[in-house]
Amino acid sequence: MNKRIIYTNEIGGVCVVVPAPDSTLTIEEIAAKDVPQGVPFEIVDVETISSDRTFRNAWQRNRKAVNVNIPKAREIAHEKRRAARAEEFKPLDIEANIPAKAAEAEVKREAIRQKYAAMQSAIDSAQDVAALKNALGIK
Amino acid sequence: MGIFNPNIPGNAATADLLRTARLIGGVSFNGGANINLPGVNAAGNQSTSGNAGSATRLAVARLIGGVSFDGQANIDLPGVNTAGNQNTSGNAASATRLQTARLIGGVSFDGQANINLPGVNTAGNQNTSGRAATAGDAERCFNYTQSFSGNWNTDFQNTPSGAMVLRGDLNGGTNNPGGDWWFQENYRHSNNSNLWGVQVAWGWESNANRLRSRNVSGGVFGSWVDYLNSTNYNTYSPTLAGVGAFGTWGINVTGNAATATTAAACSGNAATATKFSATVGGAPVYAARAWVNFNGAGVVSIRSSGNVSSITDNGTGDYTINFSTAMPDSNYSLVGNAQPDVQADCSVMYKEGINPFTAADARISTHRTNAGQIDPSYVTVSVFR
Repeated sequence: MNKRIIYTNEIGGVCVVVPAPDSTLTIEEIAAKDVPQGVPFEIVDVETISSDRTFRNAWQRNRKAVNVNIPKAREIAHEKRRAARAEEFKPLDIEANIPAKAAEAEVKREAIRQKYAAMQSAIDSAQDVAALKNALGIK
Repeated sequence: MGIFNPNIPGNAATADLLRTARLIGGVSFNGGANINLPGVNAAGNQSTSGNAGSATRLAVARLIGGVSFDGQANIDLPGVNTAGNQNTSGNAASATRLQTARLIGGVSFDGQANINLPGVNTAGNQNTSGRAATAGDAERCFNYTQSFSGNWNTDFQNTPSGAMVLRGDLNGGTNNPGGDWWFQENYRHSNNSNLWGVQVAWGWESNANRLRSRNVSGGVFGSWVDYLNSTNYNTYSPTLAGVGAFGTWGINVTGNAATATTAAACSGNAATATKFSATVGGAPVYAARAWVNFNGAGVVSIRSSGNVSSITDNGTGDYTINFSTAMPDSNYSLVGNAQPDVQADCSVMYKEGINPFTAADARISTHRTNAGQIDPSYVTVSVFR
């Protein structure tokens, strides 16, 4: 079934209902059954939904279209930035406690700080998804 | 003086009066005076309803062989005593011989003499392979009863041994086959002390297409039983259970099997079943009540499913599985697996912070260690209850 049902959830995001191919129900019957009672919805073509889920939690519904809420996407980008920085800091945090490696570890840690500080600035100044992904180094 | 003998034979040559007066045209006449006859020589009526002793002419001329005849002159008949044609297409009132002899029972007969039929009134054989239009003996064996005495068993009591009795167009009545509108046939046998046989009832109107029968043994009637046909076979469900309940069932079973040892023993599939019994051990086996295999990455889509109408993509690694038919309650068990594109750990978890399960749906999240919620390419979920 090449149709999807979209509606806005309780936190302003978008829920996308994906019909089961094995179901005998029509798309309208599925909408009546699986969309929360009283919530407005739209039935759209599957092409309406982006396959890029990098900022999935920043999706928002604009009638029959699904857009990315850029401020929310920035928050998501920062979360990804912090998670990536923490992963890079982990081995250095150990080396920083080893006297023979502490100085070298500090040099690396500083380079990481600068790298992610630049990334932070790029994220804050990004105005669209492409810029955000570029700031994160996602192709 | 001689004796006077008044008894003088013979008649007087003359007399003034007749000894006995006579009626002439209804008027008394004794010869003593003339009389007048009303309607003849005097005013009045005279009965002329009789016939004249002779007449010279018929009052109404008649046709003889098509020629008018009133008795005053002879006539000639064309084709009889004069030249001409005579219509002879009619039949003679009587004849001594048939123009064409006929065979009676294979023996020639022209009416001139009696004949004998071999096998009938003389020695010989007679072909009796045909059927009589009616026969007295058959009438005694076939007793048709048109009226209804109020008790369907009555015929068994009143008809002779070996009788077949037909009843029809009955409504109500004691021991009837059930409701109105039946034709009933009773076939019975008697040993002069009791009755054995069968009653067969054919329904019509409100009982159309029904056929019932019941046995009578030693005068005791059994219960009515129904016969399946193309219009009522869905009305009756098989009840045979246990050893011997074997065969191919060409019917749609919509109920639930109480138990089944192997699925292979059944040629078809039950529409629904609440449980199976195991081939080994006494622990019961429960089948999944719903399952789904879907792609949670890219364009989210369902590969295949059972009792799932849809999934809802709520966000990254956050999905709701919506059941086609709801579970009896929310106390079911959910088992899931997930696999991202790359070989890495990933788990299916209940969605935290909310009540994840309802009878209508189950909300799950997919996680990767140290990466939080992710969108796996393969997510499989099964639900048991």
